[in-house]
Amino acid sequence: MSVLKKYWKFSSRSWARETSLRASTLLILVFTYAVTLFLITSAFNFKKIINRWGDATKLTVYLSEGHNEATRQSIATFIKNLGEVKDIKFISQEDAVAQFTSKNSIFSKDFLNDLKSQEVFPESFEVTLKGSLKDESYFAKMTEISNLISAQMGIEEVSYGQGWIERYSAFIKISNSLIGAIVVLFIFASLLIISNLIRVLVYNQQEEIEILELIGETARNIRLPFVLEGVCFSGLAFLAGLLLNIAIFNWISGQLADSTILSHLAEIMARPSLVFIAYGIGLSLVVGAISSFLTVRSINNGWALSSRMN
Amino acid sequence: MIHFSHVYKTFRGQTHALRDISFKIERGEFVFLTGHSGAGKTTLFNLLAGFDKPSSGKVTVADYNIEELSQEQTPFFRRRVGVVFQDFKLLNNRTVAENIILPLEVLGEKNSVINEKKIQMLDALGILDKENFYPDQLSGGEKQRLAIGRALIGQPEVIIADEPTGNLDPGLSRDVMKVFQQCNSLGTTVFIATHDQSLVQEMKKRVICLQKGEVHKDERT
Repeated sequence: MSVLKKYWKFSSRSWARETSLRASTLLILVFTYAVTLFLITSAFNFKKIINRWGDATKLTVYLSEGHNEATRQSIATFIKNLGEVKDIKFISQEDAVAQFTSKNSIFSKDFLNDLKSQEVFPESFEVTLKGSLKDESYFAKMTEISNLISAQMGIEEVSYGQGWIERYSAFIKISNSLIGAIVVLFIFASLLIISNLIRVLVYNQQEEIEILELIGETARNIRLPFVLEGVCFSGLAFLAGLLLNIAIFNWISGQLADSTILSHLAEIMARPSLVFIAYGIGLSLVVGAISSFLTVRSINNGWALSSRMN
Repeated sequence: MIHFSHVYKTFRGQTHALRDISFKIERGEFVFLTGHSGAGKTTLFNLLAGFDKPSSGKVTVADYNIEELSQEQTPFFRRRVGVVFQDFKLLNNRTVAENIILPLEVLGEKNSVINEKKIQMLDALGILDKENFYPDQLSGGEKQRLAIGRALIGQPEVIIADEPTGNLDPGLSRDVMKVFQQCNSLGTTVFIATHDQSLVQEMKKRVICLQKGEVHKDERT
């Protein structure tokens, strides 16, 4: 209680003197946290959208022309026995044409009727694997299984949109690393911003620190108000940044909901969860505490007055 | 209470600020440290206050060996030794009352105790009517009395002062000395570094005189 009382006294006196310094630092810190949160939330939502597309990924195993029923059965058994298969579905030529027709109704009826009479589409198996593209090993697993199936007799080709999945995997890896690097950079920037504020506050109150040392105040008690200042500042800035982010995402979500093409994205978009907020607050408090403690410790070593006397 | 034993203090360039200083001050004594500028008064004062450590020899103040004073021990040492400076070292953004109670807040005293001691001390110093004034609104003598009051309110065993009357006229200097005498009469050891010979002669107390970093005279009157 007495610690809080001391901090309140220190802070109220100090705020009166360095209002503009504190206000400008708070604004910069809010901006830093807001941008960091925006990046994290955007990356999370972006991944969510991409993953939804990725969940629909399937292997299409095209059977070669003139295969018999026994070959087809043996291929189906081989695929099922691979162990990583969640579902396997046989697509006959008629089914393939029906699927194409339903998805491409813009073509003329004559053209679509011609397709039914010709054997344009080969028979195939549609294979759904266990797991999801969200898993880092999924792409490697898909390639390996594709190679195993391709080596079987009676297989024409195995397709799973290799090109876009490769690009997707690379994109996810790069964006994860990039966002991670930017977040680390912003956390480091927050450390420096808080450190700068505390450094200025300590220098501006050097005389007071010297007198407190002179009358026997412990270094810990002298440092404590500065550390609390850093903690409160960081926590306050995080909360302000969070509110700003929620407002921005609500606005984006509203814009998407109004859009005819992208309205489904509005349903997918997620706001920061309570767990994420709790972690965020915790991290911001730790950033504030570490930054201010290290700064004040390097300046206030219990001998401020002594160093001036000698 | 204070013991210097063969103390040397050497600065860069082999300049001996203090040479083989030895003396002992008992509990409750009132001692003046005199000497010309450059005699080593401030260096000795810094050793006494724990602002510096001797190059060799042993300095003991209030049972603390200054040489071995750790960072953790320093605040507790400073609570037992009140220090007064020529330039007062008051906090100008705090009132007289807030300045004087600082050591009691550091000691974690209760509000009722702080209030009682504050009134007693301000009354004894003759500045009770100015408790809500800021240091800038006080005269030099009042500022020094306030600084002494702040050093005394935590009831230290020793009070050391560096040129406490250096910025004051003779009349105010006597007032300040009366305050030191009062606290000495209550058992506090008083050690004052000054170059004001007239004041020293008037007070008739023990005088340690430094010359070129050595104890030139140690007289009891």
